[in-house]
Amino acid sequence: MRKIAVLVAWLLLIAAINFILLNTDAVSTVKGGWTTNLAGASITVGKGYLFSRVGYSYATRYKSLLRDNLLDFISMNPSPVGSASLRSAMGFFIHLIQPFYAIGIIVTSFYIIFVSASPGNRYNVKSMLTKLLAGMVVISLSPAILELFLSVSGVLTGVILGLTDANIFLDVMDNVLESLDAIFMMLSLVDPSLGFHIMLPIMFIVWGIFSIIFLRYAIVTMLCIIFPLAVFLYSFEFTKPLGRNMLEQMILWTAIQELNAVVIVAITVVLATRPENFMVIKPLLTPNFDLLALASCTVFIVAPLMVVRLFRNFLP
Amino acid sequence: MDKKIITLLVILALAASNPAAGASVKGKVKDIGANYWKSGDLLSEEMLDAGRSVILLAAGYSFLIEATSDLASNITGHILRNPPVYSEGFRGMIGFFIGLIQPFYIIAIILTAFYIMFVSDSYVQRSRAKSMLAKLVVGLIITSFSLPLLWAFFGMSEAVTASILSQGMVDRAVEEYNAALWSSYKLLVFSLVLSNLQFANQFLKNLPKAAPPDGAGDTVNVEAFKNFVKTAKIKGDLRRSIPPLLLFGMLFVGMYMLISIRYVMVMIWALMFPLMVFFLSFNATRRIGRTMMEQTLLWTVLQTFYAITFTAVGAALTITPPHMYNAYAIQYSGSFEGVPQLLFHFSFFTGVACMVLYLGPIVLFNLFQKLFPP
Repeated sequence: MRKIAVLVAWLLLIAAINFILLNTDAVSTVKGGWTTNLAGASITVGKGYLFSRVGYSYATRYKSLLRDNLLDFISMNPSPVGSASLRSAMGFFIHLIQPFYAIGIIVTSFYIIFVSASPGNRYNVKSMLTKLLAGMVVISLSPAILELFLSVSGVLTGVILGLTDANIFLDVMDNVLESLDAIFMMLSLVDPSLGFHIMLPIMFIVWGIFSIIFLRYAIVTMLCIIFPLAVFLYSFEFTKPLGRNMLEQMILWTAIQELNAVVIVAITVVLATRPENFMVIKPLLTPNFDLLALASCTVFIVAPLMVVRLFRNFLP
Repeated sequence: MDKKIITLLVILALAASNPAAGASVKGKVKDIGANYWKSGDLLSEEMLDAGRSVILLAAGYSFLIEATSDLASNITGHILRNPPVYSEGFRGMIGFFIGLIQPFYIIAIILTAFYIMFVSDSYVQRSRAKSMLAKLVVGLIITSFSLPLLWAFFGMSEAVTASILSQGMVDRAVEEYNAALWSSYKLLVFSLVLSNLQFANQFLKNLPKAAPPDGAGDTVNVEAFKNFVKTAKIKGDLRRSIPPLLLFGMLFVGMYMLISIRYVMVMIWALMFPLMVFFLSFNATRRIGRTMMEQTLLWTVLQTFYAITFTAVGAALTITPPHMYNAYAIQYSGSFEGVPQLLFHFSFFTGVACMVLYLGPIVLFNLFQKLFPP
C-alpha cells in the first residue's frame, strides 16, 4: 500500500511538471513543440505503468495470505462437534428426520408382527427394519461420525503434505506470476488495454487457488449439514439414488483435500525431475515463459473439478 | 526497478524544462533529419504510437522465433516425454504410497484366510472368500512391483507413439502450425500498420515528390499513398492489435498447455497407481479403482492420440492439391495504386489443421471414457 502511495505521489509530481510545461511559454514558444510532446509522452507511458502496477496489485491481492497459509488452508475442515453453529444446523435436520425414522420403524415392526405373510416379504421387511435402525443410529451420531471422518482426512492430508516442501509449489507460483507480471508491464506500457488481457491469467492463478480451496470448504460444510438427510434418503429404495449422490459428493469433496496434497507432491516431483529447458521458451526481448509451471498451477485449480465430474456412482 | 523508471521520467521532464538543454537537443534533432523532422515531431503522439508498435512487434518477433524454433526441433520430444519413474523424487513419493497400502493388504489377507479356515460354512461363501484372497494376493504383488510396471507401461506407450511419429508426417503438420503462428503475427503487423498510418503521413508529408524510375510500369506512387492516408482518416489505435495478439497467444498456449497439463496429470495418476490397485481389489471400491485406471490409461495414451493427430494432419495436408490449398485462403490481393500488395496468405486448411491439433486429442480422449465394462 505504501509503495503505491509513493508511486502515485511521484506520478503526481511528474504530472504537475508536465502541466507547467504545457501551459507556459517560458520554455517553448511553439505549441506542439518538444516540451508539449514530452509531457504527452511521459503521461502516456506513466499511465500504462500505473495501470500495470495497480492491476498487478489488485490481481495478486491475496498472494501473501496464500503464501503464508496454504498448507493450513488445504488441511482446513469444518468441525461438526466443535462448531456450535454447524452443530445446531445439523441438529435441525436430525430432529426433523428422527420422527420419520421412528414412524418407519413402528410401521415396519407392526407389519412384521401382524401383517406379513410370505417368507420373501418378511425377509425384505426385516432387512428394511435393520436399515432403518442403522440409519437412526447413524443420524443420531452424525456429528461425531463426520468429525471422525474429517479428522482422518485431515491427518492423511498432513502426512502427504509432509512428504515434500510445499514452498517449492509456492515458489513455482511466484515465478509464474513474475513472468506474467513482466509481460503485463511491457504490454501496459504499450497500451493498457493490451495489458488487461494478461491481468486475467494472473487473477485466475491467485484467485483460482483461493477459490478452489474455499469452495471445497464451503461445500463440505454444506454437505455436513445435510448429511442426516442424505442418510435418510439412502435408506429407502425409491430415494436411494438421490441419497447416494449426496453421500458420494460428501466423500468426494472431502477427498479433494488429499487430492490437493497429492497434486502439490506431484508438482514438486515434476519440477525436480524435469529435463532442462522442457517447456520453457526463452525469447531475447521478453521474459522467459515456463509453460510447465503455468500448467502446474492450472492443474491445481482444475484437477478437483475434473475428479468430482469423473467419479460417479461408486457407492452401491 | 520502479525507482529507476520514475527517476528517469523526472530527469526527462526536468531536462525538457531547461531551455539550454532543450535548444541543444533541438539542434541535434535538426541535424539528424533536416528535411524529414520538425523539432516537435520527435515525441509526437504518432511517433510515440509508432515507437510502441515497434517495441510490441520486436517483442512478438523474438518470442515467435523461439517458439517456432522450439516447436520445429522439440515437439516430438515433448510429445514422447513421460515422467521418469526411476528418478529419486518419484521413487521416494511412490514408496510412501506403497508403504501405506501394503499393511492394509496384509491385514485383509490375514482376515480372509482366517474366515476361510474357521468361519465360513457354505460353499458359496468359501468360494467368494477364496477368490477374494486370490485378488488380494495378486493386488499385493502388483502394488509391490508398481515401479517396474509403470516403467513398462510408459515404455510401451512411448514405443507406440514413436513408431507413429516416425511416419514422417509430423514435419508437415509442424510447418503448417508454424505458418499459422506467423500468419497471426502478420495480422498483428497489418493491424499496427493501420494504427500508424498517421505516422506514415507525418513521415511522408515532408518527403519530396518521388520521380518514377525509367521504364517502370506500376511504380511506387508516394503521392497516391499520401492522398490515401489523408482521406482515409484512420485514427491510430493500438487496441486494434488485441484480436491478432489474442489469436497468437491462443495458438501458442493452446498447443503447449495441453502437453504440459498431460505431463503433470500422468505424474499424478502414476503416483496414485498403488492406491488404484488397492481400490480394484475390493468389490466395494472397484468402481473408484476402475475410474482411476481409465484415467491413468487415457492420460498416458494421450501422447499416442497426439501422434495420430499430427500424422493425420500432416498426411491430409500432403495429399491436398496445391491449387485447392491456395484457393481456399484469406489473402490480401488488393493494392494501393502502385503500392506493392501486402504479403498475407492464410489458408483455411491451416486454420483447420490448428483446430484439429487442439481438439483432436481431446475428442479422442473423451471418446474412450468409460472404456472398461462395469
